[in-house]
Amino acid sequence: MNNVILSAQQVSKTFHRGWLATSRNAKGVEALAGVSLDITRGEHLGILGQSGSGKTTLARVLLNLEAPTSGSVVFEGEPLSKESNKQFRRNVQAVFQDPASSFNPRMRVADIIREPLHALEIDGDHDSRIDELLSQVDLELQLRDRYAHQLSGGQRQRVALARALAPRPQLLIADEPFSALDVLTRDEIVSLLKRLASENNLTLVVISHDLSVVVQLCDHVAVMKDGLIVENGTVREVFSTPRNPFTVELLQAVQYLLND
Amino acid sequence: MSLLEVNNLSVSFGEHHVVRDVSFAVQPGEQLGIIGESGSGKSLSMLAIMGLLPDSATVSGSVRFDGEELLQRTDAEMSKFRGKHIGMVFQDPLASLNPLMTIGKQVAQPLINHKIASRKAARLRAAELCSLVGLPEPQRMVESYPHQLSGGQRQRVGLAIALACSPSLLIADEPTTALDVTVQQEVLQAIRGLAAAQGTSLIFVSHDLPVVASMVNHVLVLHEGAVVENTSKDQLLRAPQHPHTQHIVASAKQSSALLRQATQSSAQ
Amino acid sequence: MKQNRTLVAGFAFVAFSVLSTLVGWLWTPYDPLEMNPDVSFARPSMSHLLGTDVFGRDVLSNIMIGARSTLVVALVSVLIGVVLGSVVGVATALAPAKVRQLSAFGIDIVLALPSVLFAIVLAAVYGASTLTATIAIGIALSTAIAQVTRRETSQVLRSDYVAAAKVSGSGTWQIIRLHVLPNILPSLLVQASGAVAIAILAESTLSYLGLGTTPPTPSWGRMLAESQKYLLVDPIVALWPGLVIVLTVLGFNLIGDGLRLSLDPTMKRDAK
Repeated sequence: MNNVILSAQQVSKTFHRGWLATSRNAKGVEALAGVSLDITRGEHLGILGQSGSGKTTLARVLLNLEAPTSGSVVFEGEPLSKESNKQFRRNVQAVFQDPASSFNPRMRVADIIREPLHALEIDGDHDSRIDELLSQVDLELQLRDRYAHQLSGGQRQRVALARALAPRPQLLIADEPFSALDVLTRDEIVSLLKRLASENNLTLVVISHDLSVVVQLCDHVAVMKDGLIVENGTVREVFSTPRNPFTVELLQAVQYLLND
Repeated sequence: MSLLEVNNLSVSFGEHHVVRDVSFAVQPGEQLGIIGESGSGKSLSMLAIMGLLPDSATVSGSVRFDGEELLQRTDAEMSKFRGKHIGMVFQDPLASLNPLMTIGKQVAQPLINHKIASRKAARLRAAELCSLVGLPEPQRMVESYPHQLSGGQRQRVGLAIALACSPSLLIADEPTTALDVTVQQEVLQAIRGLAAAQGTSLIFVSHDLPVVASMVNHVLVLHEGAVVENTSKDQLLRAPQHPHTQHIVASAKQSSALLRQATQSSAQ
Repeated sequence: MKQNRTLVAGFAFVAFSVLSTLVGWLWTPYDPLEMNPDVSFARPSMSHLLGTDVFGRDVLSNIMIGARSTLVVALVSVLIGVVLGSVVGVATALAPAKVRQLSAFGIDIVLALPSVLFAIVLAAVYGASTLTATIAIGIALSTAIAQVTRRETSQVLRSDYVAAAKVSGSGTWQIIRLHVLPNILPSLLVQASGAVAIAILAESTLSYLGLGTTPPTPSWGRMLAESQKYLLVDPIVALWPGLVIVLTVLGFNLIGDGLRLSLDPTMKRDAK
């Protein structure tokens, strides 16, 4: 079987503004300017970038939530298209940044986790699978009947993880999953994610602006700036011998952390 | 006499006690850090000091600034303090600026409001302040609008506004949390620089321990509305007393150890 | 709890018109159409509880029968408006960008046309009646509702939780059913309750112009409009239809509010 689960090939994405915008309309924002990236089975890849670097757009394109303007995303040898692909959805799941907005305010926890089980036609008893997932993420089973806004930020991220793991995916893409969390909660969720990744043989892609998160969770890292990947390699390589001036700048910016 | 003395400050919303019996003092020229996670009451305490809490809040205790009691003052009385004696910088640079007014006008506003300078003089001072906080091309900056600036630049404008009247105390509530890491240092630098130049005391509020540690020499830790630790920064980092603080310090040390490990080149 | 009080108050106010309609089907104090010129403009008394109008017709009987047309027009036209408006609104929000922009523009144009115009067209073709008035008002209401529904649906479609739903494998219909509809429902309820007020007032205009409920069938709106002529002679005649219209409109607004509050899960007490 191929070692590369998902790959972006020369992906560009431009957002057009204005009425009846056409390609002649030069007023566009180029979020991605030709990104190529291979996600290898078993790796924990960090995508590091500041705001406006295109990292969230890359996540959305990798998840087939946006179609690239040019280039393609290849999954299991086939480029992704607009048509829904249940096989893709079963194998590639996501956790988003803001636990406050990643859930339908009118849905209870059990139904939130049930949605993928139902939509992806997962076999087996859904109710017991929901309980199983809740235990996996260390949530009390009574929380099944709560609404998202009744939970703390950490609890919500656990629900998000439970929902993502429901179809037993191979790859989990986490877009800034810790930004809205307190330091201590963040530590808990980082350990949880590490544990879940090893228990479930997950390949991880963690998108973040925070170097300490990348260092804690990832073995490989790709640094993004202005819609391009400017550096790519193992965490050790990139952080100890950065080649790109932007990476150097990033590392210098967190120098104060090393003086503690 | 302390510049700011807070005694038994408590804030509640109905049955919900969000700030419990908080006491601390800030001396002239001192930098105090207040650390706490969201919900710890740190921001609400600052709003209580500034008299910016909503009417639904019940406040008790005492806040003495330069010997004068601030709590229970009317909004009109407090507006004489705000900006003139105590300046505040907030977390979201975009939300704290009026999108329809030029930067120059907004920075000059406190000077005009507190009748410290004439409109003309205030405008000149505004350009000076922009340059003092490290904003490029102050003359152009003064005519620009907030949406034309980057996040870091907007936050520095916020700083310039807060320090326009040279207040004796600056309260910075999570000023760099919403900013990119590459920009954070610039803003922190600006705060340090301007505060030192004007002799302003600083209260720096954040959930981020390393950031706070780089800015202050004394630290207060808030947890669930109450003060759980009140020591010098060095003491805090070396020997934290309260279990909550111990967690935070341990976590920060672990992060920085991992980062240090990763950044050490293989040659070492 | 608060929402129950609002709901109860709303139902209480609306109860009058509902009761009048129900009772009116079986019995009214007098035949509302019966004219008695010698007792015209009679003061409220034991024989005529609300007095009589210019032709000596019993006001109370007319109010009771008028309730029927008012309720029918209000509820049916708002139903038409909400169903048509939400379908168009959701469909437009789901359409690809160019179609979306064109239809939003189109809706804006239709929105600018007053319901009177539709009523005239329908009346010209089919002859004026309560039904033509109802349909005309329904169409007019649907445009504003479509506009708001389109915006709200777009907002829901752009949310993180719909992105998560797509990643979970949910298709367009599931997303509409699970996420869009429950989240636009409260807004629709509020709009509907506001639309009732507009519908009642629109009906009165149309009836007055002869484009709606034709005389002599009683209609609150027409009673109100006609009583304007006699304000100096007998102002009380205007009071009764005006009062019941206000009561009913207020009642529907309160019902809308109460339903919205009871459907909002964030109002449920936190249990951390």
